[in-house]
Amino acid sequence: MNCTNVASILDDHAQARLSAAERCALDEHVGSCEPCAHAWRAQTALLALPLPATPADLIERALRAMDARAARAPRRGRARVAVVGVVLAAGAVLAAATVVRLLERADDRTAPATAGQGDARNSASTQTPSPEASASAAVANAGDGRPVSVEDVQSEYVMIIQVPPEYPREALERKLDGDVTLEYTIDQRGSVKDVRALRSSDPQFEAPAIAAVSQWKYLPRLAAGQRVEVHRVNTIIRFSLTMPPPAGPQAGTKSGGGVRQLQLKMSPPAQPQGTKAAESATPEPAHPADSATFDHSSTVAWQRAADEDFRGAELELDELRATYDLDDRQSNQVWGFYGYIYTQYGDYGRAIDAYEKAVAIRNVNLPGQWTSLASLYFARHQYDKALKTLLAYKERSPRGRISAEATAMIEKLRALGVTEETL
Amino acid sequence: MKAARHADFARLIAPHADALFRAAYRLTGNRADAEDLVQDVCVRAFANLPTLETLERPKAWLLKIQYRLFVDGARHRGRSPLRATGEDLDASHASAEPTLEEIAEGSLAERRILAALSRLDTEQRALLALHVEGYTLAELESITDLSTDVLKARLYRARVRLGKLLEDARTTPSLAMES
Repeated sequence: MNCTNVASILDDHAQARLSAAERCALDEHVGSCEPCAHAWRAQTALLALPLPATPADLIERALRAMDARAARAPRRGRARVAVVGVVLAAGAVLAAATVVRLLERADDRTAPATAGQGDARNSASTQTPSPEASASAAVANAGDGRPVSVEDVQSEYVMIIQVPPEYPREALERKLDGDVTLEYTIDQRGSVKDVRALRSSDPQFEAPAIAAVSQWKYLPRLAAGQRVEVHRVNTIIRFSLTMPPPAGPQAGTKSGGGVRQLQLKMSPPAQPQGTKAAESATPEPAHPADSATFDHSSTVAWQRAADEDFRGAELELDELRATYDLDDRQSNQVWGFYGYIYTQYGDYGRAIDAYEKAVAIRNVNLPGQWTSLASLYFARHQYDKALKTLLAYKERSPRGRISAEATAMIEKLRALGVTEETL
Repeated sequence: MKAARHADFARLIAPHADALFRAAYRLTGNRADAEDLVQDVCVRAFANLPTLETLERPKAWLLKIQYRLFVDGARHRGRSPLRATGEDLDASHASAEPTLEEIAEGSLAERRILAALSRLDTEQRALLALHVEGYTLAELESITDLSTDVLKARLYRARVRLGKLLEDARTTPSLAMES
């Protein structure tokens, strides 16, 4: 018996089939040969590992996860799906990265921890909310004389600046598709922090995904009129060389199953040898130079809003609107931005006007704008208008799918006796 | 249409779910990552459903995908692609009281073995994980694209290293030699 024999016995899973004599010879060799003793020990330990029970629904769950990745159907369960999906299509090569945003779990919602505010919300509605809220309410009343329940003023976080990820060079060469699931926090300014990859099909996609998302900017969520941090925002970034860009205009808003898709230009990959077909399928914006300007101005406006210089942000948007011919997606973003700024001012009348202009743009459909608008009407006790807004949102959404916020608001209105029938 | 494709896929892959999950568990050392890995395999396999349907031995093909996902993933990152490997297991070692989760994940002996496995390089680990699942050298050859001689040599070296790690960790089962 020698080392090669031992290795063969181990390789062939032949331990149990040895004769007594072979077994003796083996023990003798293993007893005197340190490497073989190690190898034998290792094999024994490995075989002693208990067999893990396969989860009964393993394949079923995998299929569901595939669905979620394909972003075709909303995922049920803890994470609610997908208000915004974005397809980032590369210039020359038919490469695209889809971004699917999963909203953070409902129980992670954070309201500002202002002492007394929670009490105010839980007790009778006539009670005075927090000092800040009162101040905002005062401004609102001075604005257009309508009473406002500031605790009902809310808005979803809205993406303002989306930096496309770079397609990893190696993946491009090897024609690899992939995806990365990221989790991060949107802070009170709207910057992205604490980005981590929850999982990825291939680690080479992680760094570009994290690098891109770290630069994204949002208008932070408003709760009771105050900016709050949003934790555990999940986003799937899908890198694909075969995915056809969505049909339709440049600001394509082909929606499916509550997933919206926009199309942004992707930074050109390192080897731009591709088909012309990709270019024709990915029409350039009418004024490419304006697109860069738009991004720049948005960044400036975002920066000012983040610094709570709302007047400065408003001026920047005014200038942008006066100087350039904005396409639908850009107009929609600008009006949504105005709505946000006026909400922060406490100028709810103008905020409503701005949001109305944003949602009037028919080939862009951002759920956050609809719910922000409805929440403003609700806060001003204009329940009929709130419901009309939500119903219009439902009508415009593919297959009538609406966000959980919208559903909750419809239920709240129903509790107040305001339903479709009473309109 | 999609539902039908899903059903086809589920029918083809279901007989191999156990094999995939067990191998994934050996590779990753915990159930959550094992499940993630199997999901990744499913994504790849589903994308190649027409191929899968024509295969005589889909299990080897599926395991090959899994092996490649695991080994390539680790190579790109310079360490195991899956989170709870060496460090995590070492950390759980250090804490005096195992958490409920750890108890659920298995006995101390099991965790020691998994911890030692996680210190092997990825390929060694992958080879041992597949081999201990009962695959023959011929099957391993087709999964790994390695020649028999290379496989034999690597398997032997991997075992020696693992055995040494187990001894160093003083976790040698005392009856190992007699089993």
